[in-house]
Amino acid sequence: SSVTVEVLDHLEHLALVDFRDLEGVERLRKAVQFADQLHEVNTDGVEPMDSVLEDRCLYLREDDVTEGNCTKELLNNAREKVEEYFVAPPGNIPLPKLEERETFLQGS
Amino acid sequence: KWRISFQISAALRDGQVTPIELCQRCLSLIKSTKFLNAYITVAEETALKQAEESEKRYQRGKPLGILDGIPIAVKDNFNTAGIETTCASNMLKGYISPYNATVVQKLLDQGAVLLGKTNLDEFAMGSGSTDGIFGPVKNPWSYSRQYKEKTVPKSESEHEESKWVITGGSSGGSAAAVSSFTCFAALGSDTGGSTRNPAAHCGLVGLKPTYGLISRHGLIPLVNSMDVPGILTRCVDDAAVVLGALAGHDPKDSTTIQDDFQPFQLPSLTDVSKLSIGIPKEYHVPGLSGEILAVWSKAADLFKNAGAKVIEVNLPHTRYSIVCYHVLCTAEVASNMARFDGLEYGHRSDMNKSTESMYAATRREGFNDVVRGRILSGNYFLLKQNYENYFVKAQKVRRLIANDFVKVFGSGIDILLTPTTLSDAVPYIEFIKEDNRTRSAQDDILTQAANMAGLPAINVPTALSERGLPVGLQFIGRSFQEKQLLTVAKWFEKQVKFPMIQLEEVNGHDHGVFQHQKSASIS
Repeated sequence: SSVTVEVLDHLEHLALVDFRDLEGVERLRKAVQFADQLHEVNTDGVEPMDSVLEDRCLYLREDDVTEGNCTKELLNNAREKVEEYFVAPPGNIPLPKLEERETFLQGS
Repeated sequence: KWRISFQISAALRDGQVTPIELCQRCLSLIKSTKFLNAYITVAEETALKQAEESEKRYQRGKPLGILDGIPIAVKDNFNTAGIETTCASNMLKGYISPYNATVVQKLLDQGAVLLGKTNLDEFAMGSGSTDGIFGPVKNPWSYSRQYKEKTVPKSESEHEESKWVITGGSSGGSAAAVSSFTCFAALGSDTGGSTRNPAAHCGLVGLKPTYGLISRHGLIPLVNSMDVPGILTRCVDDAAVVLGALAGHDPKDSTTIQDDFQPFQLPSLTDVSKLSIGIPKEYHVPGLSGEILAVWSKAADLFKNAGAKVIEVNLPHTRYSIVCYHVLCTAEVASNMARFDGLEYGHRSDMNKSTESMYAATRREGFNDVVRGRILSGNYFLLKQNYENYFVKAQKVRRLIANDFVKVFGSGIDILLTPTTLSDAVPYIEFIKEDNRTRSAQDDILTQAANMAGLPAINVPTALSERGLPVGLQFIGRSFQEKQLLTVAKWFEKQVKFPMIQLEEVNGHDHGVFQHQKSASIS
């Protein structure tokens, strides 16, 4: 099947969510199997539908600032902050490779 | 009957009851029905303050409208300023919203009294209201005389512990809250049937409005192209009242249409001879209980005998709507859940080595299996190698499903009549034997296509099953024709005279509430 360990590892990197155990992997395999039923439908000449409101105009607001100045409220819900900054751990460090990190997929 | 907003509103205006009294009674009832687990947060202090303000307005003779002083509840995936909004997930436990969702603000602007936030499946993913961190919601009908009479327990305790039935989902808390009389209306959300499904199982009116009619601003999104706020009430007239307060363009939600919306009062239809009711044969699905089939059939006959045209119609792509939903939903979920990284709000892991590892740990700790499963599936379907074959393919199938409806409504059909659920509510111990995805796929089958096509749909409680539990039927209408849909639903509601729940499981002092409600119906 197309659900190889490489793909699973790739998904863990993209989603930043792990499969945790065999059940997680099985769940994905079943989900793909289920989705494969779509290929029974003939969609030749059919345009993809993004929105049921596609026949209407989407209006955008004027680019005027109408609200804001709510720094305090916005920072209220963050756990780590310094003055008016949200604090993040160091960036640009990719998630460790499959062999180096703790993931169920290691055993696969 | 005091369960109807119009009459309660009149009672408030006449001073038969005051907003504070009403609020207190509802809060008291919430306490005595705590075992239902319908509420995650009860906002007692703020509710009483709102009731006080309402009372002042009534005393001045200046209520804001029909909803002034009316206690309501809101599903816990709508943002409510100053009140915790959890989505029944560890990811948002402790998150205090800094703003009100537009629909919440609109209700508050009309003077409604917000009693609290109701329980749901985590992030609205599920069809049982069983998969949230606060535990499952119990269907109030489990404790009704009607249900108890039909089951013979081996012992009193055996009945209660093993026989209680689910509310359906994912807006089960809202449904239980309305069904047990703790509030007059509640907000749910509906992406695949999450308002109509629990409405059917709890004997309520559950309205899914047309996509684009009601603002989603502040509704924590699941599937941006299908989500709508849903309305749960005890009768169709009430649903129309709440719809009137909520519908209309919102500059904060660019997916709401610009057209003017006029709130309406429902006419009392007497002549249905000009109506054309469509019965889609594909909704006669395997797994549909014989009982529900019979109720559906009887309803079709009801319309026929009253002079309406009742015609069998075809919606040939119905059976693909669940698969289509599965792909589109997981794809949008994968995108929508990406915002939860622990930095700005919600749960944050202690892991500090790098941003990515912090995000991964936060999401590992914050999301349950169901949510994580959908995120991973969604990301799979969105991979470059899969995008055309799954995501775009599903979008094409979506158009086919939507076109099925266009053809049927274009051929002169006014309203479609279908079942809402496959059976009456199942006991919790039965429900959990299957996993969430299997259950959702089974239970959404009759409701999902309306979300795919963006159409308005409503569950109307119709009859009691052999087990003494509610069975509802679904009406699906044309885009933005809520008035017609609700008018037909109201006519049907009047014909079927669905019985009121006989709840015995309330303490002595609340028994007074029901007595009062019953005696007020005579006057």
